[in-house]
Amino acid sequence: MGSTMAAKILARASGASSVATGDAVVAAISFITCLDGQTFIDNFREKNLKVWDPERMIFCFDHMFQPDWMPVRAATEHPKIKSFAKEQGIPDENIYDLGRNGISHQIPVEHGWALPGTVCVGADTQSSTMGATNCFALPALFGVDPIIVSGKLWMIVPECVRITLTGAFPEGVNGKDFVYRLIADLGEDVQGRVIEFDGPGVANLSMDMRLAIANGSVQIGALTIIFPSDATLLDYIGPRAREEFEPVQADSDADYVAHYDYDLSRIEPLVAGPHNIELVRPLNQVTGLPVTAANIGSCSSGRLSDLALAASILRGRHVHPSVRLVVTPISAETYREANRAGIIQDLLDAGATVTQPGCGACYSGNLSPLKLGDGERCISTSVETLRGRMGSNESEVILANAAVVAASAIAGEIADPARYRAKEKVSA
Amino acid sequence: MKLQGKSWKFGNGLGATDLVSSDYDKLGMTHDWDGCAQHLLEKVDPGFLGKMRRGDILIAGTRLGAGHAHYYMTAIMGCKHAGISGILCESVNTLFQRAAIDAGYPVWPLPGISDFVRDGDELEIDLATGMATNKTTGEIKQFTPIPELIRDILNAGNSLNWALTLAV
Repeated sequence: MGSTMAAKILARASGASSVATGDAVVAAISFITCLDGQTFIDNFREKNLKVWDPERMIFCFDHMFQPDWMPVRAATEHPKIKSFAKEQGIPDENIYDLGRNGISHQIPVEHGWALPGTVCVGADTQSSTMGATNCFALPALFGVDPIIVSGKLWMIVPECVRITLTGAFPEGVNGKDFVYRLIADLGEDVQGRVIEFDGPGVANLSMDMRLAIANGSVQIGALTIIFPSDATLLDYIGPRAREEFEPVQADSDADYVAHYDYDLSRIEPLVAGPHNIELVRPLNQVTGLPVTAANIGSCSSGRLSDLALAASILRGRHVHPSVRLVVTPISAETYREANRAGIIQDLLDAGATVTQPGCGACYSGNLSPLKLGDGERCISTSVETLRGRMGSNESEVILANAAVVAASAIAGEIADPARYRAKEKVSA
Repeated sequence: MKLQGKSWKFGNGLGATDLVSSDYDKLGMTHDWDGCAQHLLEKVDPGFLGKMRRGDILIAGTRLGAGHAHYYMTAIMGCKHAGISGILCESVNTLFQRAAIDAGYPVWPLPGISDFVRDGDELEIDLATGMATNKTTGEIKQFTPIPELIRDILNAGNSLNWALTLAV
């Protein structure tokens, strides 16, 4: 029986010639990326612990937590992270502060930390996002202290599921819709397992799409997601890579516990929520529901292609007077690219508020002007739809792709972007 | 490494926010673990805290620990501080299990465990050998032992203590 990508990466990182599902291994990590709300710093100071390799630890200022009751609020946490970095000898360039900042699992991709064939660790729930680069990306929200002192992690070699992709997404469909499709279809079958993609459809997915799909791992119920290495990945990561790397490919007879096929051309726009992300419905079942808030951003969206998709709908139109549309680019680099491309201008002209890059309105504790009040309904591209996630417990969050959010912001109700695209074609 | 106590059975899909409701997010975020413990299973089984005793064991079905990881530690530390000695289940969300093991708290899938005990049965299980005794029915069953590496972490108290013993 051959090896999966996950088994090959874990074998390489643990110094074994091969590993089998169920083996307990200790694997070396290539780096760790941390968000700007950390619980380990006090512990490191109290116990006089040292970071195993300060050059391989980065911090990304993304949430900018605000509430006074949070012990990690930005006003105190950002200076604390910087003084911790000084104490530990972490280079200044490893602190992605304003001007270079972005979400903690996007920065490592943009800046060539998350490399094919390696074990990467992120201290955020959504860190599996990095798996788009053919790495084993572990979300380690808790239990990062032992990884940081040793540069190693314990792992039971997980079962893997193979998903073979064909076709390409139709216009106006993106990675988020596919994540909702997988949430609805797979459920228990992928619980705690690694999803590995293959097939000719992979080549039709841009890096942005792959990152958005890998981002959904926790919501789908998987441990992480790994994309294969191909020309799209190597063209993207090659110039950015901070060191040499060696991609992995699954063996043709790899040990998968389940196999699914998806034709991407059959994926349609979907929505998830409110309150329960497993409540997945076709867009046409919710069109017409009034909205007062619209959010484009977060680590499952907020990339250049998401902003461009929203701008293509909003260009020359206006946000409905009863709606506030807030857009948060995923990183400073993405913000600058969107600005150069004229996308930011289009968004502003349409009446959007564009904020500093980062996590944005996805969680009510973050720095964002968008907080939901009682009775509000928000259409959002963000990660979670849990009750109270974006503000009041008496509000609703419905998740959708950036085109749907843009169309809904114009209409003041959940709307199919096709109605705006059709008019565009007539006028052209 | 033995767990011994009454078995309290819950069904499939017991999520982190079923163990401690997201209403108590603030208690978790401020690490008020005793506070979290006072709301254990409050919405699933309102009388639970009144009937359980220290050392008792939760028995879950499939998909234990589903949901957003933000709420995991609130749930795990809530169980630990309420005196639940561990959670055994048919299957578990790997990240939830990982968070528990890192905290030195046994959460482990043992397929077949929910058929082996009834609600309220006295269970004794040695995690090192996998040998389980249902002291109410007298039945004995051999489960798969948990790996030595994991036992090392649990014996060290948490994964930080364990990691400090690794050669860097």
